[in-house]
Amino acid sequence: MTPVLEARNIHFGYRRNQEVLTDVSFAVEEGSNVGLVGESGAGKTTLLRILLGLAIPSAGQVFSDGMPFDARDRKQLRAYRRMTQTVFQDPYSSLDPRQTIGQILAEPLRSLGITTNATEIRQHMAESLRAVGLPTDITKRYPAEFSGGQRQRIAIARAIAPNPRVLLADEPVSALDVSTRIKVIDLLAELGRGVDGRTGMSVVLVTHDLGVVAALCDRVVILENGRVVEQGDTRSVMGLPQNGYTKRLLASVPRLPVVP
Amino acid sequence: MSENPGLIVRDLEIFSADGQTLVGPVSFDFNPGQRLGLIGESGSGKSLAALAIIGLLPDGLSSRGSIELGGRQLVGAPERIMNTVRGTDVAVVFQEPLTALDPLMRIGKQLAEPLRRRAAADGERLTRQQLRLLVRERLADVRLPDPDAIALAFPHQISGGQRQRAALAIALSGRPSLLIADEPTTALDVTVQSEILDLLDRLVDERGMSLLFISHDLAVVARIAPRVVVLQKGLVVEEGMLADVLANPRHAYTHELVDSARSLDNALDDALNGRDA
Repeated sequence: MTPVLEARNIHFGYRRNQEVLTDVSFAVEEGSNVGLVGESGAGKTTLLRILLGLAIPSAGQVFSDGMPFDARDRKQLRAYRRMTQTVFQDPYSSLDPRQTIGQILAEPLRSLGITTNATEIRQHMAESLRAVGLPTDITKRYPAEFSGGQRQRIAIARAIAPNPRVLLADEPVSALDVSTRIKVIDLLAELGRGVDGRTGMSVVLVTHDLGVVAALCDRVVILENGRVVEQGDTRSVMGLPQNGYTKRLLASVPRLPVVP
Repeated sequence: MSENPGLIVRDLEIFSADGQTLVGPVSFDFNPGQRLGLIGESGSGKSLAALAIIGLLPDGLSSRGSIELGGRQLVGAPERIMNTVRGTDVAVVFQEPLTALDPLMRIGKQLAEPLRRRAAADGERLTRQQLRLLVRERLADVRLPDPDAIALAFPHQISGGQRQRAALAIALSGRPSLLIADEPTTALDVTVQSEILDLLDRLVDERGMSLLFISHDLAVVARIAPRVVVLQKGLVVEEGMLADVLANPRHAYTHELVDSARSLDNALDDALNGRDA
């Protein structure tokens, strides 16, 4: 099957400096969730920017449905944006405080040319709010009236409103409280599978948290200093890590004591 | 360490400028040399409680109740007293070492100042040479590689983990009997977090210090403190041995915290054992 999104031999470097990404390749199959794992400086954010079309690789290519994607081509970028939406780490800074929830949710529908019809926009909004487990009557309220977990749900609702096939999530739960975290992870897992008659999508999760990857991702890509050191099925990579860095990463995760 | 007093917090309340109660009344205590984990989410008041203990509440906030450290009452103590308490009796390591360190001062100099003050308090006068050696020793204590180079570096020139080690060296420079660590590893990478937790564990042990470890992460607290107090919205909702709390949370909120931590831990367990989640 042609992957819905694929990075092939991606390199990225700033002029005269050491490369930030070196020969990074991985594929996102339709409906499967992929975790991009690494610590600070691993190149996660740069890779995400490239996958979003916000940065151009110095070598290598992103493919969408098997077709090379050129972020400099405005027409391609527009089509790509309908297919690929994103959720950021901090729901306090990713939602415009002066816009109502309704304005926030309608924005991508209009700007991506999905619909300008008021009735259709209302339908889309209601559908995505229902999908993230929020009441549909909050569209006149402002982000400040909501908690961190609720705001992240609103950000997810905005991302899924145009029915993307890929959701790129950058540390979507690390700014949230522990008790909220698991609910948002469950929500992402549900959206990946498809709920309420929505088709499922692929979630690409950029994170440093292996617990979150284990809970959500079928596949995992381990990045160290801009290189892929290991990738594969989550349970084989984590169950039988081959690379020294992967092993060290796994051994470092704080664990709960075993309770009899 | 001459004496190693415990900490007794009784009915501590913290108020905002307009008289709202932000924390409390909360009570907890621990004996000399013991460790206590203070667990809560954002807004639970755990950091405010820590700031009240060291007498550094933000402007406008006030506290009432009793905080006794080694038999000395800290609530309402004059600034002159608090100045000697801070550093010599109790010291803090914060989440973000960049805010704790002076960006314009070399690491060595930031460490030399409290070392000199501590020596002066003990009636010693250190020569520059002695001070330089002491700085180097203290940086080596927190397992910083190449202490001479680190001493000459500015905070932005070293990594996040190295900064947190330097902040720890500064906190320990006055040989405090109580160390408060407020989310000391939250901003760090997981491999670095693991190293810092090991280091804290060993230093607290070697020096017989008491440790108040503040965190939102049960798994992190489990590595370092056997007993915990759970705060929610400024109030203590549960306390006990961590193992008991994990096995048998009584309060609904603790239940939620434990379930959440447990489900991520189980997912990790399944993956590590090559099982499908």
